[in-house]
Amino acid sequence: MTEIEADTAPALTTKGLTRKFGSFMAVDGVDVEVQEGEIRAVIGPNGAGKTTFFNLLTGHLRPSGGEIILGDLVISGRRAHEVARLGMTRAFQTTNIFPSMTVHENVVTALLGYSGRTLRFWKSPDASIQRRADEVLDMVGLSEDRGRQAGILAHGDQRALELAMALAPLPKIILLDEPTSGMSPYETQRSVQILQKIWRDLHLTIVLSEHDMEVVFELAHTVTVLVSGRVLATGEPGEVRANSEVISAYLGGVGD
Amino acid sequence: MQREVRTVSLPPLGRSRHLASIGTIIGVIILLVLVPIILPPAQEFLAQTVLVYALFAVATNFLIGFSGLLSFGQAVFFGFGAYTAALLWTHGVPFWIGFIISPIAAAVVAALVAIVSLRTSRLYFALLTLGFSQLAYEVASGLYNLTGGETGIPGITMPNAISGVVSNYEFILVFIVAAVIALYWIQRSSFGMALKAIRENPTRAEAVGIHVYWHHVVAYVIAGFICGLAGVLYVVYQQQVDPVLLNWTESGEPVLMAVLGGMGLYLGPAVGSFIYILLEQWVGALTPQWPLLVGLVVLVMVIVYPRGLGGGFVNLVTAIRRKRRKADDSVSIRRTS
Repeated sequence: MTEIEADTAPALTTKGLTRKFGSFMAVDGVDVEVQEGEIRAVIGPNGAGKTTFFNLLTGHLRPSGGEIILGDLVISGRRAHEVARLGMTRAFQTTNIFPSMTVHENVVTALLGYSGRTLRFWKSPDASIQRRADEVLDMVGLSEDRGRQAGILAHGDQRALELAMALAPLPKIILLDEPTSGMSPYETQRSVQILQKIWRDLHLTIVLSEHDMEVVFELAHTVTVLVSGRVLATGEPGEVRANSEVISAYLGGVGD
Repeated sequence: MQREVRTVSLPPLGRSRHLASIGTIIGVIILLVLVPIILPPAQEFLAQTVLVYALFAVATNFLIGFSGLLSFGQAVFFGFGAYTAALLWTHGVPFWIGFIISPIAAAVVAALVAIVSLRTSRLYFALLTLGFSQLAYEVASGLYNLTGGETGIPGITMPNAISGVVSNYEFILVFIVAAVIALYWIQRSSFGMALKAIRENPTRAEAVGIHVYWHHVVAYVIAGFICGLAGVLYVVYQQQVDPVLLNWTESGEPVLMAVLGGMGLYLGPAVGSFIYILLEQWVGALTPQWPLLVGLVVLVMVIVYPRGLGGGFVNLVTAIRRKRRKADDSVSIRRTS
């Protein structure tokens, strides 16, 4: 990882990112730098502000203060659909798909949205988009389910579809909010393999939040620990695991 | 074993179903073309009413059923199209110019209403559209010098070419069929997919880069245009307008038609228009309290049969098909075993 850090600008930077709900500081002055091609895990106990942090990044929430910089573009204050089109896409913590559409249509719709081609009133999606959707489904292992209704898929497959929808436009950064939550050990293992393969093949930058420490240590290059909306520590997984503050604030509580 | 047989027999069945539905639609269109030749003039007038309201209801359902926009103000655009055409034609503007300008005017009004109302949440949006309907009614009945107040504008003459009983009917039919097909096309386009995505999951739609507000505005304008066109066609056969066209009760009619016929089906609201107007005609002849019966039917529909009569028909057809297919399957199983 250190080689990458040396010569490239960060893919994603936040400076003093803050979000208040009333008097409650959900995210409190967070500074983060994610390098290009890095897999960054954001961990922390429940209520640490991980999901709020993600919602701020993708424009689903407006920050109360601070800046978000994607590449060299300040994106704080932009709306969710703009952030998505600028190349930072997202998979949600709770499954968020178009349930009555087919699996293939879900990805096609996503591709149309990202490319801003949804204001075409006469044309149905062209062949290149259809083909691209099939490629993406192949990547996450859903090729065989392409014609099935998305709402009736098994939970793990719905999560894979979410991933496909976030992945479809070849984004600069992909945010995964708890990508393995609610999955069986087998499904979790499969997801980790898919993510590793995607990262290798596409050289994406991935930011993920995760409860499952096994997954975190298996995937992440760098780990950021959030506690009460603040960054408690950032470092390589081994360092963070050994950090006494982290152990007492978080890892220790789980009984690791 | 049974499963295999079924998957093998599926593709041709799918194609034949496609052909069957296209065949049915062409059959219905031929029947509609023949209406003024078969039916006496009074019935033909009724058929025109069914057609115009079918278009009105299909366009309204494009918003309510398809885009998830609960609009109770579609009469504004229907009435605005009708009034614009009536005013232009009675002030010496050539027929075709009035015919083209009026739906566009309705679409412009729809854009204004949408830009204001869609900024609010779902419920307030529905209430605001209702409010606009009432406002339009008050304006039309208040501006006596321009609109003739409560009396409206009677005696609008049509060009000779479409003033005959048959030609007048066929003129309306052509434009209604064209508009229904156009709207269907839009529903199947990339834009239609985005609208469906927004209805299913607005958060997700936004996260894949779809601008929800803007798409809803455009959908509203398209529906406004088609409702305006329905209003213009209303003037073509009624040859008069009155402010009731703009009233909020008028806005409720296409919604009721959609519920009666089935909101989940593209042509469901057209079926609803047929039922609604027949009820109005037959029961209305017996008692002035006919809306009571309509209300009762709608209530029963919503509680017992939310897919509407159109949906019921489709269910029936699928059930028969399945039964027949099962019979075929068991025959082929017997043969193979």
